[in-house]
Amino acid sequence: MSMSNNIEIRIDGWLPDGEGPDPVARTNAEVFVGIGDSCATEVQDRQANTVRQTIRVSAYLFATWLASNWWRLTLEPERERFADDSARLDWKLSHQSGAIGGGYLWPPLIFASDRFRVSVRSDASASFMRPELSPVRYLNTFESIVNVEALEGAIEAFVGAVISRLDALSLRATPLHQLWKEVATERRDPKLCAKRSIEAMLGLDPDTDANLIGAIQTWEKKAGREAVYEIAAAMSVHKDREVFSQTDAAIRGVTTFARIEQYSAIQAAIAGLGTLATHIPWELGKSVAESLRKVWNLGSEPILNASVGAMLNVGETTLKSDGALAPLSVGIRGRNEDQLKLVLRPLENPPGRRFEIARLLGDFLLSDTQTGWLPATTALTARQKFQRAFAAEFLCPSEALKMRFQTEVGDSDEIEMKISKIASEFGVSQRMVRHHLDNRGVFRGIASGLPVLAA
Amino acid sequence: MRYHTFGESMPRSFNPKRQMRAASDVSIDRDALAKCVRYGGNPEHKRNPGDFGLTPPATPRIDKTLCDGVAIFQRQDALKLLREGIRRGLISQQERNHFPQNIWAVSDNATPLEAQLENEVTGAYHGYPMPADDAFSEVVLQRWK
Repeated sequence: MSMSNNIEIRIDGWLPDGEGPDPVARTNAEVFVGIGDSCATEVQDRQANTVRQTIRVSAYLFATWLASNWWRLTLEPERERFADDSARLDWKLSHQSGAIGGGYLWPPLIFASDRFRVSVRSDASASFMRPELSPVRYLNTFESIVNVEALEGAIEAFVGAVISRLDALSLRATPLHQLWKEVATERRDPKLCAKRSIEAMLGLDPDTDANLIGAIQTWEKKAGREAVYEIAAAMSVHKDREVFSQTDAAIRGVTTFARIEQYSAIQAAIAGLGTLATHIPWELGKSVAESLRKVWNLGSEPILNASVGAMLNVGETTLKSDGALAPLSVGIRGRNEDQLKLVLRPLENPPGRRFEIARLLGDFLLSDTQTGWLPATTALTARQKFQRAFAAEFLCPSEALKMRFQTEVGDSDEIEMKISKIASEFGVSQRMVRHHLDNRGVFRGIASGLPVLAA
Repeated sequence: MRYHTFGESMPRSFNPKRQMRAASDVSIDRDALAKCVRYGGNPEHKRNPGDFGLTPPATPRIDKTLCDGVAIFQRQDALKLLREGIRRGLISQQERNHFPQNIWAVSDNATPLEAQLENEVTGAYHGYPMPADDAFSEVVLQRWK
């Protein structure tokens, strides 16, 4: 996976009019899509027996898809689990360019935002078709991360180029013209922008459910806009319509506040580490967790519940209790800046509970004091990724993991035994250890069951 | 004329996303529709368009799926599939002049096919295999069963 802020969607040349209706057929073009050093549109041309960097498709259809899915492409994350097949399919139709349609062979691109950055994946194998069905074969499989602003700029440039072409052909009132004006209006108007943003986070196309959006927006005052976006990115529009009121009720049912030891020193230590806008979440999570361990003088050793309780100035009983019927865990700031109310969703297993508390703690430390609710959800936004990375690093430092795997580990049974031992030692789940080993580069492929010790 | 005011949401003018009518949708007379539709064909989807009585396109060739791999060699075979797609209700919500924008079917060798309205006056369609990574093909395959 590479990081880049260079993404281009451009027209390298217009082609003769094709078969079919204006303006689709009159905007056939050689289209190039490149991210960093990778070319998503490199194809083997089976008939010409050559390789080229562009594909020959209707630029109008591509531009229309990008414009109509503007909000979902730039804001909506992928989900670990979709509510049902219909939701999963709908996500694909808005995020996978293979779904543009019209009989063209679109590049096999998948876009998934975390609100700050967009993962752009190209999967050549997914688009493979037999030669008698497809005159081209896509060649490149890769993943790149680009800033949301870079993707926005690329879409603006491409759609602008297509609209200019249409104008030059005296096709001035196409649906794309109207659609692009609508997107521009939405982007300029803060209230429309907020509405479209919530829709996107919910996984909804524009104007699908005005009542739901209106109802959710009423929670912005109490929960804060950022919390509303974070919760929307995880909720199912069919099953979770009461999530805000249920969370609110759970919050009112918990009265104890933790008080973070050495809060000022912690803030001073993490002040220069960056933000979600400037740093990728898993790196930021690691560095904030390392800073916290340093301030609290914890070294790389496992942290007992008693120690966590002491640092938060709460008894172990508080750490073991949950917010009755809380649909999700959420932190609430107290009147004093070092106070944090922990409202935990029901979690039976102790490692899960510890992980959840750590997530809320990380979010509390990083977030602006003006933010409202601090939710821990299943969403794949940058903020939730940060929380998970922080919690993993705080509870089970990567340095400690690396030390335990310094010697040869032998076969997969030995690896599993070691993982089990580490999980028990650090009070975390085995699943977390596997992902942590993968994410921190100690092992590659361990979460998928095919571990390879990293060099 | 309706004016847009600050913060007021004008609904989007259109959503190009394909949507299939529900299986229970009986608002369309499928028999009547099946009798009206025609099959025109598009040379861009043929490796050898002359075989279908179509004029080969000017070079360079557009990157579209090819019908050569679905063993449909004559217009009447294509028309038969088009009508079967209608009969089974694989019809789009979107329509132009009462003709569905898209009709779907599955070939004998299990390839999902999409037909697109090319003439809303005559009801002529042309069809093509759906690309392998077109997520909408999942809907087609499921509904065809």
